[in-house]
Amino acid sequence: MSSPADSPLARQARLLGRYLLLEEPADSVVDAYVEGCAALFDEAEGPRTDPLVDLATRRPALLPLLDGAVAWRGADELLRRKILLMLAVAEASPAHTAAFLDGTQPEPGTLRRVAIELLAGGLKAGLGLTLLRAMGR
Amino acid sequence: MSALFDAIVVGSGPSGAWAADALVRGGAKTLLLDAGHVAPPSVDVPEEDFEALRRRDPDQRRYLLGDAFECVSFDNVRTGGQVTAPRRWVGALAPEATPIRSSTFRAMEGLAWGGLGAAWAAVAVPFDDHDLASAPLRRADLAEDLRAVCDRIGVSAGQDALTEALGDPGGLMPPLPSSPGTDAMLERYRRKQASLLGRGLVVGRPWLAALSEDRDGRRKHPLLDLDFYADVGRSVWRPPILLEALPELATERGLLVERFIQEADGVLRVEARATEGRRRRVFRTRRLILAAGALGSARIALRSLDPDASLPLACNRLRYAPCLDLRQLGRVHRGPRHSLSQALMLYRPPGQGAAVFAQVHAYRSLLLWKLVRESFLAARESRKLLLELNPAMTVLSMYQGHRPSDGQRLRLVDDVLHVDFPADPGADARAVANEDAFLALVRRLGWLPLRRVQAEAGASIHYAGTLAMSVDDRPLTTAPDGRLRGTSGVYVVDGSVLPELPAKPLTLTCMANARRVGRGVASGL
Repeated sequence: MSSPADSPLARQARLLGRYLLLEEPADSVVDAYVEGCAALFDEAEGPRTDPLVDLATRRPALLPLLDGAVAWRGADELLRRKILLMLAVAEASPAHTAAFLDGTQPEPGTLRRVAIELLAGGLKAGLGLTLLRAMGR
Repeated sequence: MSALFDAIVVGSGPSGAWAADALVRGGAKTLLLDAGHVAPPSVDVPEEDFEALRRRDPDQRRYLLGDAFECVSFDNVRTGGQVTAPRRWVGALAPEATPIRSSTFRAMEGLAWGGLGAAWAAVAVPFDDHDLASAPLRRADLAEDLRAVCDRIGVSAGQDALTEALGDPGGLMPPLPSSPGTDAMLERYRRKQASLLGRGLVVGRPWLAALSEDRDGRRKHPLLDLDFYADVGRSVWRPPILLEALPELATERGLLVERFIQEADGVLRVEARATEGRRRRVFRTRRLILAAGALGSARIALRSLDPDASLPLACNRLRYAPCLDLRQLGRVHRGPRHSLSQALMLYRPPGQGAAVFAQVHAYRSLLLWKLVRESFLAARESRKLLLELNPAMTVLSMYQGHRPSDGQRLRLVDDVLHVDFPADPGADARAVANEDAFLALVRRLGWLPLRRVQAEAGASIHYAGTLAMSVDDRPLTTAPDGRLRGTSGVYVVDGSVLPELPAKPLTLTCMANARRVGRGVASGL
């Protein structure tokens, strides 16, 4: 299945891809995401209405906070599932494999980087949870 | 009138294959009946190093996620979660052909050619007398068969404390190489061995039905790290390897045996239906060997002998514990490797039998996104974090024994198998205490358990106890020679006969017992 490059699901794929991979996702990954949404979320005719997905789409700057909040809650949210689907299709594509495989050389400063990611993740979760509470969720 | 066989074996899994082997070699005219589902041809995985494949194969999504994204799951750890897209065919037919209803237990059956053995993780360890205490069977009764099975399938293992604890049946091959992180842990264990052994922790190289040397036309393990996706060079043993070496064995695939009827002349009438269409077939035999798995054999026995009865069901408890070895942080682990178990751990509290059995996996050839799914941090940070931690991360699959409680039973309702598997709070509390004690010892090896992940009931796919072996003459149990009580010529050779499951995988013991029973049946014909 392929989808028009500017379809709502393709735009969603690019948004999630850029956020997760820090680069533009390959077209094949965008197509795979759209296919996956059809297979897993019953979105063959286009994206379902979902408050968190819609908010993330309208205001991409909030995506990191929403990602942090839904992960922390371990909630069965469509947004969380879509984020995981994008990770899965990106990881299963040679275009983005490097983002999921270990490095080839030892790199110093692992603990520092781990600490930074933990702090960033914790901060986003805190802010995201505040945002969800403000939304009454 | 259909031909009369000396023996019919139901099921082509590890137990059925070994029973058939013993019967044919004993001169019995034998027929093997099986659903015999085989892999569709579209899921072949190129035989290359997994990492190289990941970097170049544009079709990898098909075997990593599945054509219909069937391996993208957002639920908790599921039964068969380790069964990747190229192996999904193993369990594909069963939900429709042999449905199982339960709200508390997620069962998996394999109607594949080779049964669940077609997706076996290849950990092959024998039970000892303590493990067999609930059955009228001793390790010595199985010694000859264990040796023969190990010789034939090729079991690689180390010469270490674990092999000493498990008892070398003979014929073991040298071990496969382990990951560098596991090697470092094993070295730490060697330094502390006396103290840890005293506390009941035994650690060693894995016992794997995977060749470390070429044998009988099979190639030694190629170390391409493809084990979750393909069987390269047939280095990992699968039941069809044994069955194909038996030209005298008659086979009929595409059939599900439903029931047997004992006729007046001592002949058994075996009724089967086709897996596709409505065709029914009838076979006649002097002996019937049930090897359809603890659930499948129970279904046939209940239908044939007492459809209103219920049977106990044992199933190993399974929990996962991802562990971190801080000393491995920042290291680079490259080179040939495999994705089978890297080491095995056995926790035996002093004076007791196995309480926890753990398989050590390096989480490298499954996908990182599945670890992200388990993380409580945002996916973007989790990906980067887990990438940093991956070389230092291992996952322990922890199995514990199980004795069925009064309520943990299966029965037929309108000819469909129903499983009742209520929680057993007392046993659960003991299991948690065992796990706590075990993980405290794991910490002393420098591995920090990060969390524990509970797999759903049934997830271990180790089922037993339904037609338990017993010295008491009770209906729907088996005698020590494997004969199903209430019958004169029906024998059971799979996990059904084990009344309880110890904290060890059962496959090797089941294979040895199937060979033992098969030899006995052949000699009695």
